[in-house]
Amino acid sequence: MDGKRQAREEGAFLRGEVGVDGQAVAEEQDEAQKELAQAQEALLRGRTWLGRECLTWLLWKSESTDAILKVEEQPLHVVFNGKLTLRAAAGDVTEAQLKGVAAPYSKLVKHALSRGLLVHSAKMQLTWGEQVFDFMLDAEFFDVRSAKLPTLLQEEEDDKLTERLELATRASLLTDALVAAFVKERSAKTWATKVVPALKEWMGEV
Amino acid sequence: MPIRRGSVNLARFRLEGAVPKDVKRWLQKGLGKAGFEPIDPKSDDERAAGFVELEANDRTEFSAGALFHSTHALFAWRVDKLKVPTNALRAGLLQWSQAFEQKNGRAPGRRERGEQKDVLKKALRAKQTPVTKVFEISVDLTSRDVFVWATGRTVVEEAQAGLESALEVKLVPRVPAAFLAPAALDALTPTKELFGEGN
Repeated sequence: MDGKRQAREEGAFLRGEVGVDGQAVAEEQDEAQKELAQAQEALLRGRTWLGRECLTWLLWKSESTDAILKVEEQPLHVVFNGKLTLRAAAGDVTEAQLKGVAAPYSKLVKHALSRGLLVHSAKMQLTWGEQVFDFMLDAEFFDVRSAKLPTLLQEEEDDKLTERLELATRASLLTDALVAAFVKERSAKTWATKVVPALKEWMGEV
Repeated sequence: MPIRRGSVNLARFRLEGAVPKDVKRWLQKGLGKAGFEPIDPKSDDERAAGFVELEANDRTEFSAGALFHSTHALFAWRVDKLKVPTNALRAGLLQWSQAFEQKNGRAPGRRERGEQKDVLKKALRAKQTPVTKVFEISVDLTSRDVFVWATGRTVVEEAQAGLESALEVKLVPRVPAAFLAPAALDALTPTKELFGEGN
């Protein structure tokens, strides 16, 4: 009986059904496949991949500290300044979270980007004229999250509300302006010939 | 009230579709149509949702004074939930089972337990007060930007669907895809060089 059992176990091991510890490996494989399928689904859902390309492009553009563009003739500066989530739809690592004010421009992040983990969500600071907005953006919905608006100047409750609504609209408009600038570059022929090679070169600076 | 103070969370949309000339009247009428109606305690409903005035979440008149502020329309999406606490239901059922066994000399059957569970559920439900949550919404009448001042996807999608149905318009999320014409968007595919094939 023992001989038969041993032969059965050996056969299962050789077929890859169990590991060296005699435990089934099928479940582990299913789990990994499930995780990968979820990562791929998340990438395609609502064209999240375009959002990830956009945030990655923005991270690259912002490193120089020059204004990304002008909005109503005032320069708009962007600095990534905190938590960053990177995601991939293939490979062993499907998500990485990094914390630290300088983390977004670190060598580690560039290396991860070069390996296909693109920016999925990021905390950033937008400076437009004298107004400073801090918030998080995510690649799937482009919701403005945990935003700190510039200090209100008005004192009356009704005026404060109007000013706050205007500032929230401004935060949204500035986000739209950045997205529109990305979309313009993304749709141009130079995206494949110039922008992507430059992005890859920047990612390779490690 | 995040619209007045605190950190801001915005789900952002742009209103698309034909809008009547009298925007104010149209908004008042549309929101009124999908106004919040409380849960009927006699029904089996566990949830109710609809639009309410911003400053008074039990009102659905949407008078001009209550709805409009500067160039914005301000209102809210109210969600009420009525949930019978499972612990209380379980404890009540256990107490009843013990009393039943003492009286009849046997444990209650599956059907008897089921019937008692329904009775208990109804009694507990009558004592419950619904949990109310209110999510603010602003519509910029000039730019047609619509903000739901929340980012929880369930409530954002529900409020979006509620607005689209009440106003017969489409709310387009402000994501990169919305900045491209449909044909241009269909022609785009993920940049292979960036996504790679694995890490």
